[in-house]
Amino acid sequence: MKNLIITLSVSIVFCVNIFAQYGSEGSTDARSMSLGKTSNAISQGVYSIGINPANLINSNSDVDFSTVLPLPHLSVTAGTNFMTINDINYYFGTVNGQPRYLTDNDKQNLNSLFSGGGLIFSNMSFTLFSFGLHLDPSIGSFGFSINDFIEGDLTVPQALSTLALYGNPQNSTYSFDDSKFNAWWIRNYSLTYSREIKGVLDQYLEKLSAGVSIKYYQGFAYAQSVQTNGNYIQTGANNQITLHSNYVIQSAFSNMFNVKYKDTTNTSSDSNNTNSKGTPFPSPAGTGLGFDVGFSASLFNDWTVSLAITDIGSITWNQNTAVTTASGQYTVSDLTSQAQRDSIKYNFKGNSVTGGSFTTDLPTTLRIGAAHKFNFNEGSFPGTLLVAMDINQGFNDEPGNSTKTRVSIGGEWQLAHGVPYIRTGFSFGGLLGFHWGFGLGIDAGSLEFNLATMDMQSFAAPNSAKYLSVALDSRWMF
Amino acid sequence: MNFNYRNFPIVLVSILLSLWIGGCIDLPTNLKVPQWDVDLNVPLVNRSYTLNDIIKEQKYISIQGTSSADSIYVLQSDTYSQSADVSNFIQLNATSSSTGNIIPVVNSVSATIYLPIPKGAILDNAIFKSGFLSLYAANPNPEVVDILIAFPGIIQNGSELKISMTVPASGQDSVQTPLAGCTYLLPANQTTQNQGYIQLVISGSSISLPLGSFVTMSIYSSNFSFSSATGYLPEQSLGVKSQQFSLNLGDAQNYGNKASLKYAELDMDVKYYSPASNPFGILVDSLNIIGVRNDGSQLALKDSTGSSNITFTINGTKHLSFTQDNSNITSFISFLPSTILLSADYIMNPSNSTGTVTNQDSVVFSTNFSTSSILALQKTLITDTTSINITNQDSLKIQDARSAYINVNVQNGIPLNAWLTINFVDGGYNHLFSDSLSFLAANINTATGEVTSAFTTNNVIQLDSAQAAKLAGAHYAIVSINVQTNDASSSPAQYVAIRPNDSIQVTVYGGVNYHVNTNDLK
Repeated sequence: MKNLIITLSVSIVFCVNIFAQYGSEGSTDARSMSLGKTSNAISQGVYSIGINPANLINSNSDVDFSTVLPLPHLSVTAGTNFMTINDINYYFGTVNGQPRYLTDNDKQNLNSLFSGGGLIFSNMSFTLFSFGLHLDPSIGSFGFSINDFIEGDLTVPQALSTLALYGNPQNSTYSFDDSKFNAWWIRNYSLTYSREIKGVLDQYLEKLSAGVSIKYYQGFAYAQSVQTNGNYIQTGANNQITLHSNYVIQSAFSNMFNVKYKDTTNTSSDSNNTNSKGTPFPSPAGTGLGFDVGFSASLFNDWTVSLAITDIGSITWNQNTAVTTASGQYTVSDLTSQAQRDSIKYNFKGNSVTGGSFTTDLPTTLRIGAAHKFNFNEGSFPGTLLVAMDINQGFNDEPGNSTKTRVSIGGEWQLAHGVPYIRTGFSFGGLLGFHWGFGLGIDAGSLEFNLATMDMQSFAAPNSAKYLSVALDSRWMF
Repeated sequence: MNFNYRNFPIVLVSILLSLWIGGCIDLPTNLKVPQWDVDLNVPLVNRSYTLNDIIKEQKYISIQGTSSADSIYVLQSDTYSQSADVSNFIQLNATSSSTGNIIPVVNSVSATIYLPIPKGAILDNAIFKSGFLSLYAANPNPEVVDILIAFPGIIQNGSELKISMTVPASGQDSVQTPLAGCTYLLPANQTTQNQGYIQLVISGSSISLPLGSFVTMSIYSSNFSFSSATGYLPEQSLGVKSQQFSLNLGDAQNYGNKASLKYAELDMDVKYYSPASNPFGILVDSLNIIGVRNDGSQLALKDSTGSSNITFTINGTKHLSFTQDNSNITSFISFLPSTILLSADYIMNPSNSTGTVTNQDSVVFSTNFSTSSILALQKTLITDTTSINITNQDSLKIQDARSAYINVNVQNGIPLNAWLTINFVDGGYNHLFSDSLSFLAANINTATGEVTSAFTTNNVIQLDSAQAAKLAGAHYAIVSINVQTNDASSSPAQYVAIRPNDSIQVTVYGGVNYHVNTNDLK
């Protein structure tokens, strides 16, 4: 853990350039975040890597790249879906200097916050380096980037709060099926090529472009509850407690984390990593290949449509791996029985098999987008307004992804050239539900700055906020 | 007034900043985990115990039978032995004599005299362990007389015993001869009517005394004792011999006056040990078996007629069995004495027959008591002040409990009622509070005493916050247990069969209304 903290800290402070899009839910660059994570049809240059490679050619410069300077590009999202600052103040604040004593009504309200499971999540993504080279349209554009993604979410089952608040009366059932956790830290080295396609639907399209990215993935840490259905506790007569366990957890860690497993099936194969120091370039615990493919079309009358599928592929984890499983039913009727206590301990911990390998899908996502640019005349409404809409559909629930459809809409308004962009947008559905994004952007010629939050409601009514998200970035363009 | 659209961004940002500032976040500064009450319920014990689990086989308690129907506890005492030697029987310590015998003083002429063997014994052969022959001679003649006394039946150092005497003129002489180590063999020429006598052949001589001269002799025997003797020894009481020994029944001793046994048995084996092949018979007369407790109270074992004098004859071995059918053995063992007294008069050769006896002969009694666990038991304290250390409870934070309960459910398949009293005390053994539990005995068939079904008793110990606080200060739980069978005091008592396979199902569960205060967990 110490190594993890050190590594994350070092990475964030010294080499973070964060703006990549990831999965249907993952953190985004500041521009798209301010538009409610809307970016499929309007991403440009290196910002399009990971979203729609066809948009790489949509750049107003020959070269664009991002570095740590002048502004480190950072995007962090964290929060819960169940507890606001007001809730925290109420339940964890004091009454006359003393801890609050929870009445029955308080307990009922607190427990209801966990209805369906209390989600705690955190997403971070950063680009160590990205570069775009835009050549003649007949040749196309090339891009390269190194992106890191740290994603994690934990769903606290309501049964836990129910147990803590109400205890365990007889003849009750506590289901832990809503418990879940996902976390990983992966890095991809992405090579992107995009070019315009001529001679196809020319009568309908102003421009049609296609792009493809090939990604080499390195995984440094992975932990996921693959199976959590069928886990529950039943209480019966004589305070008897029956545990029903049915879970599968997979994990893998880079040697850097010095994780030691206890193999319950073969003690001779206990992992025994040597301690190693944190480094921004640790040895991977898994590797894989991924592909992005996308198309973008500019219609007449300033309309743009976009279609992409990102992260087709998988990662095979084969270093410091463990698959922990538990399945069965265990009844506790005698706590004085050493055998029963041992059985609880054994079955709660499950069976861990270490040293094998397993494969996880990349957060494959279908991305559809459309945008229209309005050019207003002076006297009616000034400047230009770009309105965009996205539909993101994940194909799995890997970290950063969700099979719940997310729809977003956003607008970017610039009063005049040289005036900061004002952006706002809304996101609906998906894993996290409604969000209101807001941000500003400054185009200073060869340098672009962006600042955004995905949760404007947190600023407008912070005591009701459940989330916190901030993104800022910069891009050089020549 | 015309709105300057170029100021729109400033206006918009201002509006948003106003929104932000207006919605000032009320950041918590002094976070404390709330407190609440919660009911925690846990199963504590759910086990089935057979008596076999509880009462382990030990020195005095064993199990007879294997099936659940016939296995039974047997309380078995040590085997006690008493040995009575019969050396008195071969001590003919009465004296015998033959006096005033006229012995002629004529060369080559002898006189035969018979000295009676004491107590009328008739010996075919014997080995003297001790004894003396005393001879007295009186010489009325004016000349010295030499006398030679031969004992044809007494062998000393491989030769016939001979004694010489020289009696002075007009004088007397005496001699005493020890017989230890001599053997006796009835001379072949000794007539049947003289077989109870020791034969002496005496001759006298002088230098010049005339024919018709004589001397007078008297012979005495004393302290005859044999290491072995064959022949006839008259009936003889060896006297009353007594011996006592401690009755060791382990913890069962604590149930005196409380337990009433249905079945009990005393086995006695009596054996007459002798290296000879034809020993004499022996009569054990008025054998008394008396149980004595430490307080001095006594109870005698009596036969079915009510007599405490037990008389029997043995010639070799004898087995006596005292059961509830022929004695008061059940009462005797229920009395659970601490000491057993055995006393009897041993009479050798009660039938006046012939045989062989040696000083190695002995009579050995071996006795043991046994009883099965079919009994009636009045209320009896079986465990007192058993201390249970319960000091390791700090981590449980019992003092934070608003209330607590422990539910003890017992399905009792053992035909014993039980009462538990639990006293909680502090480190100085000062009383804090106490509670009691009772568990009723299994249902039985009153005719056979056998368990027919378990009886379920549910006890709930309810603690309020004050008791919970006291429990938090408790260091020891002192437990006393009383047990009793149903109708143990009625007449006749209701017996129950307590079998090793009798079982008791104990289910204990509890709960605590706990005041969650995480500040106390720091």
